[in-house]
Amino acid sequence: MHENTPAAPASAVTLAARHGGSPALEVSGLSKKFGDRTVVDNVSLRIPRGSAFGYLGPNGAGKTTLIRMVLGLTPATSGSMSVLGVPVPAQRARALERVGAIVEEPRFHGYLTGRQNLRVLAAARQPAAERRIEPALERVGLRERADDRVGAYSMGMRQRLGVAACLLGDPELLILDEPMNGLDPAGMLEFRQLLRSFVDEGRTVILSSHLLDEVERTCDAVAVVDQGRIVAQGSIDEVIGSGGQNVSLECDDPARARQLLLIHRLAGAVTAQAGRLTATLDPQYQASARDAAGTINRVLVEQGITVYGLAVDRGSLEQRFLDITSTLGGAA
Amino acid sequence: MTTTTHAIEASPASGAGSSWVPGGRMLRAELLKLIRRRGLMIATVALTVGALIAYYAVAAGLHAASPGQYGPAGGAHSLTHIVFLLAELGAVAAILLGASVGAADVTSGVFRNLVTTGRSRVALYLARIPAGLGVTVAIIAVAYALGAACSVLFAGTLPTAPAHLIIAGGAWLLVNAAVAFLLGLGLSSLIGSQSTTTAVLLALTIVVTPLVASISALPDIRQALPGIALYQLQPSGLDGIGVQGLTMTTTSIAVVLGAWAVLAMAAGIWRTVTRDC
Repeated sequence: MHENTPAAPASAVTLAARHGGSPALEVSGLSKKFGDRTVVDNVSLRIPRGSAFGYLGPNGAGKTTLIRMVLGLTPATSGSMSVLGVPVPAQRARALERVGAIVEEPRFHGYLTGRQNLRVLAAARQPAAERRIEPALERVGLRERADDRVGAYSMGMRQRLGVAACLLGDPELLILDEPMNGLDPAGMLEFRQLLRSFVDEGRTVILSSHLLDEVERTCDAVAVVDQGRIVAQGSIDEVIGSGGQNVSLECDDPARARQLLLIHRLAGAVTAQAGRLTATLDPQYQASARDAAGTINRVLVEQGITVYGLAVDRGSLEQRFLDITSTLGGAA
Repeated sequence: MTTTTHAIEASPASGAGSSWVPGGRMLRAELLKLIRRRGLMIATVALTVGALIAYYAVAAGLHAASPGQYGPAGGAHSLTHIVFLLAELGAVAAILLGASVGAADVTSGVFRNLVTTGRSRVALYLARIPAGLGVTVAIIAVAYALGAACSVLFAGTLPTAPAHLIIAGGAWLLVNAAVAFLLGLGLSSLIGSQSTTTAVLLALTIVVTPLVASISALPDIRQALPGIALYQLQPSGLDGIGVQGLTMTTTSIAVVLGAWAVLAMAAGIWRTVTRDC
């Protein structure tokens, strides 16, 4: 089927079956040292096919180094890796044939046009890549500017051209390092939709980003890396939930309500601010915050307290990220 | 941006990118990268074709203004002049081209993009050689052809150089430019800097080599320099640059030039393969 023809997306299941169900990316015990400094420390990851996976971490945490090792841009000190079920670096050429990647920021020859830059990159791939240039430009919305020199492109346009370059290999796996840098809000929305459309087609997207809100909206699962180590990993809900959930409530007697929540062991801690209570749920209720909210409401009402408002605060990926990384920073 | 979904092709990965052979598309891509560098192309053409036009314009102008004092612009003697003019300026042009071809992908950051395609790094390097060498040879050949034609056209009453000398002079210039290009390519691929490579090789070509050539006390060391070997290779009949007290056999010249070319290529390949990017 010609890639320019909109078609029903290939399912992730079909793709997985074709490759024997191997994960899109699997690394085990991966480490990278620069002299005495360990930048990536015994990292193990398994990213299933057909998902959007967020790879998060503060500056210098080792995110880009891991991506560079996977792509063969720098050798690993120890550990094993496979991309789309193919071991790297042993079979790097085969593994990367169906991978598209932007590392750190998309870089091009500024004196060449967008189309010419894609021709240069397509020449390093299989002959079919040449035919994908026009559809790729169309897809990222750069066709009208494809004959302008890249030196005149905005950062957002370069990001789009970077994605177009990724599409030249008809990738099953896209590894995008900070792809939303330089995009305005409308551009970010478009970009998010584009990434989700890749996932809908059965492709796997690994998104490394500082824009935690965007990762939360785009990705199905995340790993948080800090000081070279994975410190949290799982679905978005699991990672956010692992930090504890809160219930906020407004009532006519906050002091008494606070006592009751602690006495009944509904909350591990309760803080009050401007007459509003925020209760961090006791661990036994973390898995069922809605049930806990119902229990809190019942207990308070039975004790004659009027409840004006009650809400489960799911928290955010950003808050959880800051909690994890700041905890480690404090420990260090 | 459009979010229409597209089916993924079913073709399995072939691993063809692991081949060391670059292929025609990669050569064309390298050629595109080079000839679109407008500033570089203008500089190299100005150094070669431009210098020849300037030479004959001045010589012809002087002859026209004062035929008694200045002879015709062309003739066998002018061929010697343009051969050595192109030997120096052509080498400079070749160094500029080689340094640009070797470092352009690294300095622009595109090398990283190319590596992530899975393509063999050796193939990425090897593709630069025929493309860059082709452009270098073409520019020098056009400039020399123009110069040789002018030496005949403007000969007037003077004798012209014999055909075999014209051909030998051209061949020597091409070897000279090819060696300069390969040195530029290898060194810039090794150190990843176009400007440093250009500075080092220009110093070697314009300052060190003529200086060493004039020191007759160090004959053995002199033989190891590529520029000295190239002086020795100049066709007999061209009254060119001499190297005092030194004679090299054709074999030793070939060994020296071959060794430099292989060393430069090996260094460039090694760094291209091992470079962190």
